[in-house]
Amino acid sequence: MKNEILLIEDDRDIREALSELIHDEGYEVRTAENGLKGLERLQEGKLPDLILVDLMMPTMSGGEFILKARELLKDKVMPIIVMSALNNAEARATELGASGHLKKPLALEELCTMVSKFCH
Amino acid sequence: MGTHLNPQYAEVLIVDDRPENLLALEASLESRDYTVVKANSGYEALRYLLHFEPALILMDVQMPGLDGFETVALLKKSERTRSIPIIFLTAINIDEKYARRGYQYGAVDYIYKPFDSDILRSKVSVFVDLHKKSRQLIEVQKLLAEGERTARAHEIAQLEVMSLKRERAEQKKYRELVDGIQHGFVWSIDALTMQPIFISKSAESILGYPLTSLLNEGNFLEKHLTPEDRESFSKTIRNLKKTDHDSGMEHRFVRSDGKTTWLHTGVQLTDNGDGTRDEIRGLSVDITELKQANQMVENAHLRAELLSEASRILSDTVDSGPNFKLLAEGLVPKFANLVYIELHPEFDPVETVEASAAVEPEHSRLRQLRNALELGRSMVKENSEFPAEYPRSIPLIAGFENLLAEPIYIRGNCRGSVCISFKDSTTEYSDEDSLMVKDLARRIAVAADNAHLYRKAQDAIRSRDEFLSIASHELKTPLTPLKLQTQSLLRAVKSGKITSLGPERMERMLETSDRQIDRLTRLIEELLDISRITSGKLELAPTHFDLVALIRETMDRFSDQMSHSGSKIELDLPESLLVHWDSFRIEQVLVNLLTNAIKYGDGKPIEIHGAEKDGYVDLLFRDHGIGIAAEDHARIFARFERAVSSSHFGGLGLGLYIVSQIVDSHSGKITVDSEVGLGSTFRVRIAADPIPLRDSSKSGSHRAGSPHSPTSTLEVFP
Repeated sequence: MKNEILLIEDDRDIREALSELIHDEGYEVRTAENGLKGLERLQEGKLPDLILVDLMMPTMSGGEFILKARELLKDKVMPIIVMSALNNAEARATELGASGHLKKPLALEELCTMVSKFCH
Repeated sequence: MGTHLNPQYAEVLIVDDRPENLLALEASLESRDYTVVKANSGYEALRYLLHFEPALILMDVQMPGLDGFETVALLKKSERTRSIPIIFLTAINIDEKYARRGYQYGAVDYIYKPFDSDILRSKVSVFVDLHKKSRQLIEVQKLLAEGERTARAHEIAQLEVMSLKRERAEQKKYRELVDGIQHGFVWSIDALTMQPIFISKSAESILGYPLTSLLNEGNFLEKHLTPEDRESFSKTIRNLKKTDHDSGMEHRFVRSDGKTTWLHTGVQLTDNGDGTRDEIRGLSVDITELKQANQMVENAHLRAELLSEASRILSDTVDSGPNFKLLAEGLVPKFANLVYIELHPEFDPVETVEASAAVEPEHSRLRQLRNALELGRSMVKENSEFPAEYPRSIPLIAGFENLLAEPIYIRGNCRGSVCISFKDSTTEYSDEDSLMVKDLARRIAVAADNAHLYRKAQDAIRSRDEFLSIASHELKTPLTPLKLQTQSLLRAVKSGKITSLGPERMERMLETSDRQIDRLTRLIEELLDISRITSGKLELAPTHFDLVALIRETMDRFSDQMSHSGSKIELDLPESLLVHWDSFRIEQVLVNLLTNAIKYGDGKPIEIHGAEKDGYVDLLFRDHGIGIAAEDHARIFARFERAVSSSHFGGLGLGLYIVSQIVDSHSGKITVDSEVGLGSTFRVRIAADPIPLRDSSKSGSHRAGSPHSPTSTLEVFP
């Protein structure tokens, strides 16, 4: 059974490129263009193994999504990786209780290492 | 005492134990010159002599009980009776020895019985006459002494009169001296009744009442003192003791004209000179000028203190806007009973402030006053100087009797006012007060201007920080797919799996990368435009071209993006619109307005209209998307501003700013008409051939379409 990753990103080009790459690495990918859509996808079928989420998004930001998702998941373990171009991305990730962060623009190797760390 | 005052009256005492002898003697002595008094024993004679003083005593020697000699011996012991002449009458003792004894006892003569009546009578007459003469002498002496006394008394009286005259003269001199004092007056009142006894003339001018009225109205000082000083004054003068040293006090006297005179009064309790009554004497000196001078110094200190405190409060609050509440509270009640500070909302983000104590004017009245205040003009003390359009009743409103209003000028424009109402109608404000309020208004103006500039600077910094954060996000966003695709291709090439990707996948990857490069290019151009605009170097290269053709070309370039968004474009354009504009810049306007319509259009149809009328070209872009709230309409054309939260939509938020700057530089106008949820309409109106661009048209024509050929420079920021 393949590990499944939920990818939440508002920029279409990033979303599509990432989605294809992750797929190439051998994972199933579910995508959403904002936090609100991300919450909907999270509740469809079985839970994903990892969530990759952008911070600056319209309708519902990544930060808000993480808080809502934690509420929804209660005590279930769910690794969430924050992706951001912000200079304070790491601090924001820690503040939000995320499992890790990826700085934009993303480096392919870094992305693969991070994903494989949470998906066995 | 039985002594007769009449010197012509005399008595002769005859003493004998035998009544027949007494009768015989009385008969022979009978005379108009004296009265005969009889005594039948020595005792009876002594009793008589206790009360009377006879001119002569005729005494029988031989008597039972107390004999003649013994009786005389007793008489000689008394001072009063010692000098009375005594003639002994005897029948038997005629020898020398016996007679000598009689003389030893003080007898003046002996008459032997039987005696010769004539001799006896003549002897008696001599003694009576002597007695009378000596009595007369005494009377004369008495009279003489009396006369002397009277003369002396007269003399004394004359001396007294003289001294009195001298005293009067001195008193007059003293009064003249006292009356000569112009800045003070002396007075005295009865310590018991408190009725005035004396008030010197200068009191009239100092107190403003005629002396007659002051003298007739009881304790004149106490009566006219201000209520706050009256009690301590009364207490002091009622508890005065003679041993008290001149105790000075200061108090205020209300003159007949209502003005207040400050007096320094020293009082003393003393008797009036003859010990019949006690007086309170006082010297009151007019110290009004001194007080006023002191008051002025004090006021100057107070004003300086208040102003310095005001400056401190104003400078302490440069970040939050002037704290007028604190400022006003600092002035009440020390300086005024009401302070009202009002500033144009632009300069006063907090609120308009009133502070008052004691007097609480109705709020609505205060508003009425404020409304009546003509901005840009000082109200002055005299009611008549209120402009005719002011309701005349305003200065009569409680608490506004003494109103001082001062406009607050900020950079030459009246932007508010300070109104200060003073304690009461009697506290007239001075020129210094007026200057203080002017100073205060200036300080408020400076502080408000500083705070305003500070807020503007803070806003600008916030906008810039937000812009930098957005710019960072926007610039990095295209880099992510670009980098991912490049690295992915690179990895495939290195691992020899490039062929397994397939041509379709490779094309898609390259197309994505190409789009990212376009995005970056646009962002960089936008940034460069901003940089040019802010440094005032937006250079226009006007050319003659067809606007309709330009619009259609632009549409073609955006067809892909439009189909992606789902918005349909409805064009309403004439055949052609010939204009003399900078085509490159105008294309930026079109692109920005179009992308905004697509971005915020919510997938609904977008209308674009173009028309020319009276030499002006009107362009209209209408979407039916999220719209813009009315309060944001002005803001959206500013740098780094956008109406919605930055995280929702991509872009640098510079689009509309650049658009407005370009339209401006073409001497055109851009307006927005929008409602939340119903969409937005942007209208651009520019002259087809704007005058400012005409001069450069000849030189600019051969470089048509070249955005980098500077032909005219417009100062965007003056």
